[in-house]
Amino acid sequence: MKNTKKITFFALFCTLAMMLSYLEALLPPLFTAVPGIKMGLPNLVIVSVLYLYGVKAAASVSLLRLVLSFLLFGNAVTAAYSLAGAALSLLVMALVKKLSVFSTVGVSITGAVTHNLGQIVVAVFLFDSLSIGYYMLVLTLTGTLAGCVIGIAAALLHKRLAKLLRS
Amino acid sequence: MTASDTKKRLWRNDLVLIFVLLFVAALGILLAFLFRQEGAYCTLTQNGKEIGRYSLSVDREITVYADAQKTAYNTVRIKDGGVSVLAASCPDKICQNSRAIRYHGETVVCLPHGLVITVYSDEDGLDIVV
Ligand SMILES: [Zn+2]
Repeated sequence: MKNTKKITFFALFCTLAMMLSYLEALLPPLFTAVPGIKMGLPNLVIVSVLYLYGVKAAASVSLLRLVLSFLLFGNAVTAAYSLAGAALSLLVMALVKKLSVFSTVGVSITGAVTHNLGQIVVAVFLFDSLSIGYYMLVLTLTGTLAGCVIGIAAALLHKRLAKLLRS
Repeated sequence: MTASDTKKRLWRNDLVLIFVLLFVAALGILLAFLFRQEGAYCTLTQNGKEIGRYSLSVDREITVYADAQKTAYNTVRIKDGGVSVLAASCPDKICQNSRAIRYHGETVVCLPHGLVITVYSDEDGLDIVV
């Protein structure tokens, strides 16, 4: 019974992450002149899963989202971006969470900023252009703000869902 | 230490993180803005390989193709010391919607066509201007 519930919630989280990916793809590129760089809305789901179930579960949801987005509306370049961003972001978030120096908000911010960092690093190598690295400045600003909002939302979600999931 | 003390400590750390990140980013942007240099020329690279280098002081339009059939194009315009993409056949049109760039280090990227336009300030690079 407990397993069924877990699987159901996993599917739900994956769907939610997919919807956020799609929503993000629809939005115009806000502050960056480098196409394909995203703010990382699906991070809301990843942060929530990280707090509710742990690193392994968050990695599974993240990977599943990447594969599905790639199959549905991706291309190879966007996939490389997303993979680098998602992997670095999750790794850093898991480490920071373990150190327990920040709340959900701080963890989410490190996730958002490193998500952008991973993407920019890939873009720098992909286009062999160091100049693209300048955009990391603006992305640090937007990433911090996005991470803040996502962290607060994830903390609220966590508070409400934790009870439901443990019953 | 009580649970609420821990919570307070985490919140304080969060705030420190937010301020440090915002401060560093804002300072970086400010410095980049203060020390920005007018560009002298721009380079066009396709998939990391340079395909052209043009002075920004001569107005002109350049069309580059990303495929052998010449259906995938970007028309680059140099005007009044700035460079922008006038028209492009890429699906996202992000390059076309980017504003003109004129300062050292600025880039316009067309992801679908692997095209990067970069502005450079130093006049020495003009040796091999086309
Ligand atoms: Zn384009």
